[in-house]
Amino acid sequence: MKKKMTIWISLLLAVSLTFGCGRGNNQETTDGNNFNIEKTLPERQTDETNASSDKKAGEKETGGTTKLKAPEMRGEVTISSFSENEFLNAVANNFMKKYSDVKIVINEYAKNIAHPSEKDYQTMFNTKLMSGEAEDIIFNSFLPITKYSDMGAFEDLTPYIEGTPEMNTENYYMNVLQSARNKNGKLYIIPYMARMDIMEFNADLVNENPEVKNDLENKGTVGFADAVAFNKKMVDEIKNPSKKDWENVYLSAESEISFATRLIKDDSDKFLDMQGKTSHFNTSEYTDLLEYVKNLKTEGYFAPDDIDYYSTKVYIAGMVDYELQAALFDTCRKGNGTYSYPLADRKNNINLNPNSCLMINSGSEHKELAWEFVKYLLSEESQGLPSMWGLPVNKKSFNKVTERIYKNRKKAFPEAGELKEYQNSLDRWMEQVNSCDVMDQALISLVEEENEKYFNGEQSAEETGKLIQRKMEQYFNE
Amino acid sequence: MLKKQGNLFKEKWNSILMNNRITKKVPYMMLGVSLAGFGFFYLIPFLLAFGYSIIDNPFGKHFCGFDNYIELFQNTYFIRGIKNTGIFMLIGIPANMVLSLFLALFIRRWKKYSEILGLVFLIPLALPSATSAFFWQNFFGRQGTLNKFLALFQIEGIDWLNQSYSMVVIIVIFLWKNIGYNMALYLSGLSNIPEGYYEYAEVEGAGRFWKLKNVTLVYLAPTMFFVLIMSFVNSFKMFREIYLITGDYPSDSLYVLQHFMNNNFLALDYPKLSSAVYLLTLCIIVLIICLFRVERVVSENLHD
Repeated sequence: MKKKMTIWISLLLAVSLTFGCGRGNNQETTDGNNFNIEKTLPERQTDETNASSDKKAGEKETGGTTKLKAPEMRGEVTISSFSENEFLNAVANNFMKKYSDVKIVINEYAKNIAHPSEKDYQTMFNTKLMSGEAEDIIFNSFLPITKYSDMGAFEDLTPYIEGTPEMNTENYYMNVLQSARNKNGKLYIIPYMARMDIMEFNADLVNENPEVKNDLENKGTVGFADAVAFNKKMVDEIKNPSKKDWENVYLSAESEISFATRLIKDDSDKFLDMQGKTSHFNTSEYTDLLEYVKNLKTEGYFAPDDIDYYSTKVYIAGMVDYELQAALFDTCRKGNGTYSYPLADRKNNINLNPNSCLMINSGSEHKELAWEFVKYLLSEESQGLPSMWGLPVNKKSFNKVTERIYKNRKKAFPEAGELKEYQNSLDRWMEQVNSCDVMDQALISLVEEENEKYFNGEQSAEETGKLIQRKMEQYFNE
Repeated sequence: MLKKQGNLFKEKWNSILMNNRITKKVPYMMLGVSLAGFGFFYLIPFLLAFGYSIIDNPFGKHFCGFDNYIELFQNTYFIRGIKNTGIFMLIGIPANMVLSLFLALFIRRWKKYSEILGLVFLIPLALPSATSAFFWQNFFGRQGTLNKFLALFQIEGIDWLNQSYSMVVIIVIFLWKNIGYNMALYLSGLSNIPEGYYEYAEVEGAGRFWKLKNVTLVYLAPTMFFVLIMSFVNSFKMFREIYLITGDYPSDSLYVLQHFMNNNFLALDYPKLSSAVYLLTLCIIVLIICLFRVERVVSENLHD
């Protein structure tokens, strides 16, 4: 009996070992490349920090042209998306018309589900990924990019970009395209559309405060903590009894929870080191931050939740808005207009929103074909489509798209300035992007969950810090 | 003619049934369907998971021997998960067995209300986990019912689910949920003990405690063994309630092995997950073998 058991166990081990040797996906661009490339590219230098340097990230390497061999335009490319994406559908249809032997299949998770949840999507995606059934291209909404990239789930797109000669600074905002390059020089996600946070300062309040106005006019970007300081100064000045005509003046219309999150992200290095997998939330700096926000709330700096913006004249000193709207308001620096600046962190990084980015599955069997679709998605033809509702990364489509959006939005904001001014602002902001916010959404949720309890009075700031610290340590060290 | 054919058919069918070789195979054929399902959906994936436990990364798939297993024993959270799971089982399972036994004995004595009492204790088993988790979360939470009750006596409330002894709360929930099931098993076991033994003991002047120790517990041994196995199995199911109440990252005292596995699953760290699964399976196999050995010895003594 014992002998039989031994033989069976040995057989079992032997069989299991064969499953350990599968199709590996080597992320290193060595001789075992999965794509065709005529010439091996030199190793890219990794930037020390993500701060903007004299040399913009993404400038094409000089010295010889290398080009990816175009694959046979035949087969199927699958795409995973959490929700319906009109732009993606339009581009896919055009691509299939252009290449009749290629089929693009878009799997929209939320389409047939009554209450789609991000966690369920992630579980479904994980299952597909591990079973080898994941789609070729993934349109990111909230996946933990850093974790997945470290595992090797996504393809490093650096060789693809460098093997595509038309992807250069003349045709594309290469700094935006390569903003998500990590400290190892790898690029796992690229944007098909540029979204960034812009800080809007209420023009009426700024014009009323010459000191703040002067300080702002010298700035190209602004950090959130600095913006709060400016806004508080303006609000305090307005609350002066001599200025009794000003009513309903507030620092922010955000909830204290998202306000606190922005302050954390503004100086994230103080609290979180994603690369080193450490966190520092059980510190006096964090409790001070929480107490500061709570005091702002208590002292009435935050706009009440029940305020009627339609029938009441409200002055919100500072608001974080998206670039297309903020640029329009910025063309009119009076009345309903704003002074708008890209939001930067303490290291002067202008972060791209990762929600409009895509990745290629490292296990895909159609990587070259998937890349052809991605190239088409980023082409002038696609980026200029009417369904493109954000800033295109393709420079050639920039004017067309921004003009369409400007004309559309000017109807609701007739006092907006000239189109040229609008486009200049957006172009200037695009050129400033040098980083991508790849912080795992699960970490933000952990922080906000505990912060909410603090702001609801359920626990103290110290307890909140300790709880977050414990959860972070679990997250990083499990 | 037809009658003759019918009789021939009957004879042939009876001869098939009487054929021992075919008769012996019938149970296996019946079991085969469910065994096939078990094999396809559980056993084969379990065996394949071993492959994940000996590679470094589910995408790179480089063989790394037993490094994952070694690393597990250096992982603070794995050790913590084992420790907390062990504490929960060492306290919760015996408490469950003892309390449900006394409850069964009590109900058996109070024949008048036995049905109602039995129903009351079985209701928690029928409640969905989400419902009971929601209730207990609101009961033990910082702003929960328990703290409000304590406030009536000027006692300051605490967050019962974020303390070093929060495992006591989970044990209470485990007992509340599972006591009815074990009670029902004990009631069935008790009803199988012949009344004659108690009458004989009564005649010989035996007291209540003597009867419990030398009649009830002795003849209830096989049932107790079964209750132990079922309690052991049900203890793993408590993860559902813990997860629903405390989420992915509970307090240190509530962090059980399933949290470790669940979080590694979400993080795609299948090598770590598979290694933990195999280690846990090994522990369970060893424990079950020991239990069966003990049960065999006890049963032999019983027959003697």
